[in-house]
Amino acid sequence: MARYFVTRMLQAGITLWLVTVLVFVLVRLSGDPIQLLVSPEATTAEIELVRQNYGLDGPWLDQYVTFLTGALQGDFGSSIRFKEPAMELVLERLPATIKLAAAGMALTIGFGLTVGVISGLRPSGFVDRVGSMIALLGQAVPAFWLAIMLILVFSVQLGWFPTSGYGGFMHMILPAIALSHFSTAALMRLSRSAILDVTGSDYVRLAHLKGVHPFRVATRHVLRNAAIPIVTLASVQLIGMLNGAIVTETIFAWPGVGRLMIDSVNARDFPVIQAGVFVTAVMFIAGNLIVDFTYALLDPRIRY
Amino acid sequence: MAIEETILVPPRTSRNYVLMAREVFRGVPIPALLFLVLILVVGMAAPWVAPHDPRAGDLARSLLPPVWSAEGTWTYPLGTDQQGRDILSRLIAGARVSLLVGFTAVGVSGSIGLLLALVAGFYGGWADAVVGRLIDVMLALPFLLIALVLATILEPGVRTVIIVLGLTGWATYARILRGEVLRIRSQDYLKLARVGGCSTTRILFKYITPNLTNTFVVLASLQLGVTILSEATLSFLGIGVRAPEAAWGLMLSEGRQYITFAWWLVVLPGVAIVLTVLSINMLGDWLRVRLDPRLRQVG
Repeated sequence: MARYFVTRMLQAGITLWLVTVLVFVLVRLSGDPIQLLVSPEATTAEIELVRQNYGLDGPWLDQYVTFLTGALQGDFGSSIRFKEPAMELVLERLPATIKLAAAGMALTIGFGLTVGVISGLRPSGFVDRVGSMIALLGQAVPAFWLAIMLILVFSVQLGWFPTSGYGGFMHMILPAIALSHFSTAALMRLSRSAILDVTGSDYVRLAHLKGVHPFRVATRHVLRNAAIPIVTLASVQLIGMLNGAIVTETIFAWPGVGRLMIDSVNARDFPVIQAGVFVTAVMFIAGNLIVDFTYALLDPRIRY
Repeated sequence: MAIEETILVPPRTSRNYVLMAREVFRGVPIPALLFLVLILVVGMAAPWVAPHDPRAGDLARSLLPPVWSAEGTWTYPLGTDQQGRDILSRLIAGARVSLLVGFTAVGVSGSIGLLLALVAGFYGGWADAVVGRLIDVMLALPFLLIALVLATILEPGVRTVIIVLGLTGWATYARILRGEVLRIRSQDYLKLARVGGCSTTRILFKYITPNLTNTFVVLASLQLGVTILSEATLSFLGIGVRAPEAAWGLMLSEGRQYITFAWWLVVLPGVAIVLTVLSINMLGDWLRVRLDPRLRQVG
């Protein structure tokens, strides 16, 4: 058991390190930031001075070592656009993104899981028929188009919700729907098939034969055993939410990390991109690790 | 004699082909298949079937509504956009882009994923550990972020979109096919092949790869829809296909500011995306049931 935990921790560490390498290389390939830092009339000597100040002189390896030592202390340098610490900028925006992701997850689990479980327990029933159609559609609609359609119908035509911006509960509903529709559809389909898998098994049939109350069979026998694939997918959805956050936050002018990243990429603001990707990757890797450990503790059959 | 012949060699009538076709296509979602065939034909023949030049605008006829509204005309059946370009022609040109990007990107990412899966699954040990970490890294990063950074390095356009989607989409194939390779590797016929003196290349491509075909086809069909959605997203964010070319995602981003008074600009391209991806997904589901019932949990 201890061995398993240590191995997984090490693997997670390596993954995170590879993420830093990948981000560093990609970002350096995308162009020389020095042009954005100096005025067009700057002399060569001035350019060199700025280069030194930002640690942009010297070979890539040196730059990477500097970057990594800083990163380990949470220091990603200063934003080229805002002249503020990059990490602080990302962390400032994080609550808005988490708030939106939490609302999206609530919709995914509340709607997707409920409909999926009912569909699995009552295949070809009313909920299953309607749910399957919604799930099929949900996986074919791009998030940005759904967002535009929601704005067109509910904000422009009906005037029920604000078109965009950050604010109270009403501001959150449309972005949360646009953000979560894909994972809702995926979770619906997966939980349905996970439940169907279990309901066909011998021990469930035996439980029915013994005369166990159907509700107890559903909660005690079926749901418990179908939980693992469902929990896995739900945790993987986090990355989908962060992906979607870029699009959703752009359309709804939501001041989160996703929008910060798009603006930073356009402005070639390297320190912010690096900090943002790092934070995103840490959250995802940590999330996966927690899920894996929880399984190992809950289900003695699981060993990799 | 005559009787024997009829038994041994059944007559090759057209009826047999009908029966065969029926068996192959049993349970296929017909509307999805028909729509996809239509999109394929129209997309491939785009320059010849489009009624107008998708890039030529005329401000004198800008923002004409579709034919079924009061001011619509049959010359521009689905209306025109802000620059007076024919929407129908642009949708057809967009179909071409979506299919081109979809199929090539799926081909690229599928090949990368297959090769990595073969290496990881067959050699195991170090190779497996390295590929495993690579897969983790790809799955730990939002693909859009990598796409954004890549798009700033490369020149925007169809080629860049294909490269970006090809380089970011392989992790799903690698993960699932690796498991399949592991399963196949332990089978007896592979041990026999090795005892029989087959070379590694022969074992990899003659004995293992053919057995991955079903899984691969199912995965690719499911990824095709995702890839087309991703292409639309990239073009929408302005890092994919650029104006004056036509792509569904680009049309949506251009039409967005006219949302209050020209609904067809934002509705029609979206409907095209949804119907195409929906048809592909429905056919993918059908293929999955036909070819590989074990793959239920993918997607």
